[in-house]
Amino acid sequence: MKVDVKQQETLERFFEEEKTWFANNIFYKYCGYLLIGVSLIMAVFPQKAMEGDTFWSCLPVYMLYIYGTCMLCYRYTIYREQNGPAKSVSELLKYLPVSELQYRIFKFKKFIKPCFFLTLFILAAKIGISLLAYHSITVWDVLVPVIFYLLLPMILFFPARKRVHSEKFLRLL
Amino acid sequence: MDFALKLANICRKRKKFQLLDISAELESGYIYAIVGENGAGKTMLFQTILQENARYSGDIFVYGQPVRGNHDKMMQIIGYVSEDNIFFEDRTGNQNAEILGILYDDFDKDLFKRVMEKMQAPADRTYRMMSRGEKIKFQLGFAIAHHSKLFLLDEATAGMDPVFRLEFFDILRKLLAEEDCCVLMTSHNMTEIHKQTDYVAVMEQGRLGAFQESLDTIAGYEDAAGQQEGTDV
Repeated sequence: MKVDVKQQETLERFFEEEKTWFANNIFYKYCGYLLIGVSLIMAVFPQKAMEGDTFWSCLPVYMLYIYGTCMLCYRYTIYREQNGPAKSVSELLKYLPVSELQYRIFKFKKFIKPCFFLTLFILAAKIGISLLAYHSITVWDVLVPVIFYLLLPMILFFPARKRVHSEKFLRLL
Repeated sequence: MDFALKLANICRKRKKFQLLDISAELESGYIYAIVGENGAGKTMLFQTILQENARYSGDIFVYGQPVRGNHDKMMQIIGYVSEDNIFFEDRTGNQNAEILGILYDDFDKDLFKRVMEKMQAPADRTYRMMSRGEKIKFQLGFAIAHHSKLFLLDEATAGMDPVFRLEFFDILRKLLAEEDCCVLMTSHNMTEIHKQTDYVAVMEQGRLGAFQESLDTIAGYEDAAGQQEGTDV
């Protein structure tokens, strides 16, 4: 999978040029932060505090994080003009000189960047709180943030997999 | 010499229809037309050339370069004019050119403005508010502005008045005279093809016949179809 630097720069300029594609951009941006915030509150709890069933019941909250980061990236995948339905950016770029793979790489980089920094934040907070509360850390204090907040999103949204918003989903927006 | 467009044994199957062993070699400097009834496969052939993820067997070359695996580079020199083409509906022609022109290596905004003025197309009107003819002019202007060498026109003049048709072909002829490019279009209008194009091929049920000079082909096609010359659709 070769990254075309020139095309990545072109896509960066392209998306920078028009920042208000998605009429509800502000809503979806704040909604994304809200979901990530809720997930982070649970994420920084030390693993010792979440042993047993509590851990598995918190799992859906972790998944809110993935949905929240997806919402932050909607501006690169969906656009909606004032008088129309939501449309996929892939459709717009279909007859333009943009490689589908490079576009997917671009989206992936935009998605994984916040995941990376959030993972670092969660690791630091989790380890810090665990040391303060229990004077020790477990291996799960490190593995859970890395697996759920970095590796799982990377696997789900790896650019080799083609993901296209369905018409049903676009109509919901 | 590289052909403007070379199709080598193209076969593509989609649902209940397929393109069967399509081969053609188009030289630059001419207007080629494909005629055929609805559902013959004309648009499907264009989509095969244009879509990056189209699944087909055979090879497509544009000025000697393979299209497969080279979609982004090929779209730099292919101009597509069709009702199916997508632009920002709530942006003006100028705004569309400004935003989408970023994706091209060689997009000339001044040339776009000059062409739009020459065609008397309203570049400062939103795309949604443009008439069909104005949208076609905008798309043609956009394609010229990024220095297309192969123009694919899918029913570009369908439903247009005769004045527009004359203007449209006038622009194409000037383009062919000034630039090293080729035009491939589809149309139902036999008069237009008879008078305005250089070569024409007939497409039937996914098969493309050989390109022949327009006058010869029209006579044969009309005899076969039992139609009178000069019929407008």
